[in-house]
Amino acid sequence: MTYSIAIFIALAIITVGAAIAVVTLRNVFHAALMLVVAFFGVAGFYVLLEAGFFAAAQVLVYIGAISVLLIFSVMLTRGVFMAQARNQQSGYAAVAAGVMFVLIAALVGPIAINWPGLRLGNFVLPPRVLGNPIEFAVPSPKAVQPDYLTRFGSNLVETYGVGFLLAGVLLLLAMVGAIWVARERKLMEIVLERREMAAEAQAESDADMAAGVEAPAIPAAPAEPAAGAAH
Amino acid sequence: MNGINGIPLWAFLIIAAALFCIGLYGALARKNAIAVLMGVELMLNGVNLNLIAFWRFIAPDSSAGLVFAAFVFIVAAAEAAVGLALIISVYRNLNSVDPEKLDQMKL
Amino acid sequence: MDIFEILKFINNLLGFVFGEIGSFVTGLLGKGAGTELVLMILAALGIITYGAVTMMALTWFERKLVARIQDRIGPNMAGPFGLMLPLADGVKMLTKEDTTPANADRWVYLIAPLMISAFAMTSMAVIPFAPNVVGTNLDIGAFFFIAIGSGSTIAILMAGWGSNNKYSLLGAFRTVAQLVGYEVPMLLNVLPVVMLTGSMSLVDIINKQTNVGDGYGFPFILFLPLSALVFIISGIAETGRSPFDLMEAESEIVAGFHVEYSGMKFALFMMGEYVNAAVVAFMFSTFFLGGYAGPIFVPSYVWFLLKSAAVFSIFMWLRGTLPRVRVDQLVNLNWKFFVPLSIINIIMVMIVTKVFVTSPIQAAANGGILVPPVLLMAILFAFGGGLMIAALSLAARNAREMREADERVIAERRAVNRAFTTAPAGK
Repeated sequence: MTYSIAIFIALAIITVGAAIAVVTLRNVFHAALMLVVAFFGVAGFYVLLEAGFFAAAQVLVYIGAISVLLIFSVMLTRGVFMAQARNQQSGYAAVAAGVMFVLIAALVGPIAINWPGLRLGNFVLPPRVLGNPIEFAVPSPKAVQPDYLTRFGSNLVETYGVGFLLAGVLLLLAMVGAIWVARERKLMEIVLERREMAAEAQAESDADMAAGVEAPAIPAAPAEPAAGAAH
Repeated sequence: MNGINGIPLWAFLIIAAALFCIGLYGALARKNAIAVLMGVELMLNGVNLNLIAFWRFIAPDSSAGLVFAAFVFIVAAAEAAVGLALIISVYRNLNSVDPEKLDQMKL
Repeated sequence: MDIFEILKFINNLLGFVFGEIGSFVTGLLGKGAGTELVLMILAALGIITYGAVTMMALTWFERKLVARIQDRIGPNMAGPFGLMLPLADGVKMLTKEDTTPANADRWVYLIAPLMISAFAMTSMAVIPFAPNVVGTNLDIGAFFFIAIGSGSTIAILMAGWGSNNKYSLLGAFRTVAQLVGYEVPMLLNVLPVVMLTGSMSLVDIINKQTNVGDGYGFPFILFLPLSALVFIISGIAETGRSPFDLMEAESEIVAGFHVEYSGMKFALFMMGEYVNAAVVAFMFSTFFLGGYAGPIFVPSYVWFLLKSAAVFSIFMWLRGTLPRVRVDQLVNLNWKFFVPLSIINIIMVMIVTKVFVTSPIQAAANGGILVPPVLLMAILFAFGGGLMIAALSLAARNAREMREADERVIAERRAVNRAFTTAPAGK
């Protein structure tokens, strides 16, 4: 067993284990820390795939920025992180995730066994595309050229330059939007906002009454607990 | 079926699929909006791993896979920033981050 | 054997010694993957030991130098000239009580100092100490240093949260705001260096500053004075040294995020901070001063240490001289001054290096005026220096206006005070 296979198995266990911990832990702060571990694991996979630049970019962007943002948010919305971990539809969600995994594994399966395709007389599966059957067999990977970074950089700004500029605009808009949405509102501003919301709600119920729509039923008071009724 | 130093392509794809599905479960089944966002980040990481694995095995001399992965990084960062700003704003008004409490378009 | 050969041998001594150790171990264990693993572990242990020894030497150097700046002698009781001070410090740290606050998140509290030290040591893996003596010559060395530097912010948040202390948490928030903010000008100013070199590998950057191959022959500080200045200031802010030491100021926020740590854990925090500062000094001397390159009469590793020690002395000089920066001044300085300045600097370097090229191949391929490196250096120095003078004078004028406005407000208040405290007429 060479080193790469051992490292791959170790990284796989760490990453998938940390990911499962992220979605199961009740304490959201611990879940955020496990997310950091999962990001490190994915960075390790990028190193195995000989895309070292992306491993460093993963650490810089995800661990250095996005995780810090997540932890700040966890701390700013404190007091609500000890609640239950799963909501009512967690069973359905687990089934959905399981089915999704089976579907993707079914797509990955033919690649794993180098499936040459199925042929029954005239019937050919996979069907031909432009006269050529879809190849599932993966050829031996070529070596990565030593100047892949230079060509990546040139392609990013030349061939895909429009996307690059749009990505810059997207980041600018996201930055401005995030600052504006989460800005610290002064007391007067909050009072005016609430007044406006109350006025809108009133206007809406007036319009409903004029149109003859029934007022929404007030929910019944919860039943007395049996112990209380015994008093 | 030899791959990079003995690791075949399907191994990376299965790990990416596992990350994606675990993230999907997290995004659907958690009671804290920030935990939902963590699930979404896991999904995006799975997608990125998939892209880079295919780049390495199928077309290592073109840069299209790398450029696509770079764009996924950028979009994930932008989306995390805006999503968390929205969650903080909702928390200030509603004092709760339970996504089930947000069932109206008005606060 | 003439003196030149002897000098070259001494120059390559470090690389030669490590090569011999490598062949010895390979001879002992035979060729194979296991031997490589053992060699890598030995190299990692060597780098970690070097980091720890650097930290010890730096604590002594710092206390002595800052003491002299403050007109006192400094430690001289622990051994001759106080040279046993690091040892005494270590013994003190080991014998202090190791407390854990009640209700602290135990694992988070324990792992935070380990993570900070680990990240600091990891970024030493790419530094070239001498020709052929480098932990690993990554082709993304500069980017690796920045990425690892940014990863340590999580550890600080863990320390602040795990201490279960309001003031720790607030200190951690402020620290992370400072660190995350000052990463931006640091990495924006490594970019012109990488642009001039054409590669992110640190060995390539050093080679480009010497006469090897198509190198320029001059250190990059002469090409990019403004980048060097902003990089060093951002580096000081990144490691939390004075005058940006809000992170650990005892008089401000009760020592910030490491207030609940004592004993060996606190020693690990200190080690992380000193190794971080040392790495910033090493990186500055690699990017802008030429690293281990220098005239042959001094060996290359000694050049590297001399340059880094000079940079570190500048850090200590600033510590002993300048007062602490307020948190809003710190943040304003970063986002309103350094970041726009760095972006304008990058645009300027981009345009100049595309218009004036130094290699004939590039001139033939992309078109551009072919100039010898000296002329490129002169042009970049002129533009960079002009930009620096313009920015600094703008900042000075701004500061003067703010100070005059402040003084006006103070004088006004004083006049109002005086008017109300004089005895009213007719009493």
